[in-house]
Amino acid sequence: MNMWFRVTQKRSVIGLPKRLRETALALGLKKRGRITYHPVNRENAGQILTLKELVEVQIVDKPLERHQETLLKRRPSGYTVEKPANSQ
Amino acid sequence: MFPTPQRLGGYLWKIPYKMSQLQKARQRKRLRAVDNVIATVGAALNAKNISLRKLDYLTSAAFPKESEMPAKDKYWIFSKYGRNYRKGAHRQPKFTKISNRTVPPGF
Repeated sequence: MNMWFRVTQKRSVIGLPKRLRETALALGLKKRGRITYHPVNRENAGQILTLKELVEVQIVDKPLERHQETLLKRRPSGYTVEKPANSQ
Repeated sequence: MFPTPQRLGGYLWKIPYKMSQLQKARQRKRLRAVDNVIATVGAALNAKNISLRKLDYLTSAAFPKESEMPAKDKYWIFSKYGRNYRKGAHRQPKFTKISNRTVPPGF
């Protein structure tokens, strides 16, 4: 079974020790709200636990692309197009 | 113009000695958030049958969960100069981004 960590950076690394900042960078976390995916293994788990005060973690089956994440966040438009206007 | 308390030159502590009720509530929320991260990572590693020393430490008695901690340890940390060897948890630098859950045995 495929398992991925979905890591969301919740807290900034400003003012924190270099080791923590570099660990965050290693996980691809550059600023708050950034979401990255990592396969479940010892190395990634250890890095996430190093940043346990700064991140939120979920377990997912497969990673999403960044533009797919953006689409998930987007507010629903409030309407659906049943058919195009020029479909006669 | 009336001078501010700081300008009056008095001995004014700007950080209160204890946390306010709302600070304590946010402190508990942060502790629970860390607990959730540890539980999630632990569940994933258990499912894959991977052992990790850091996880063993974070799930041991040395790192209790928020629900297992006495209030004394949630809001007060060990200080060798403090009254009763304690000081407010909000007195430590970057206290919202670090974990300091247990005190030395005997304190």
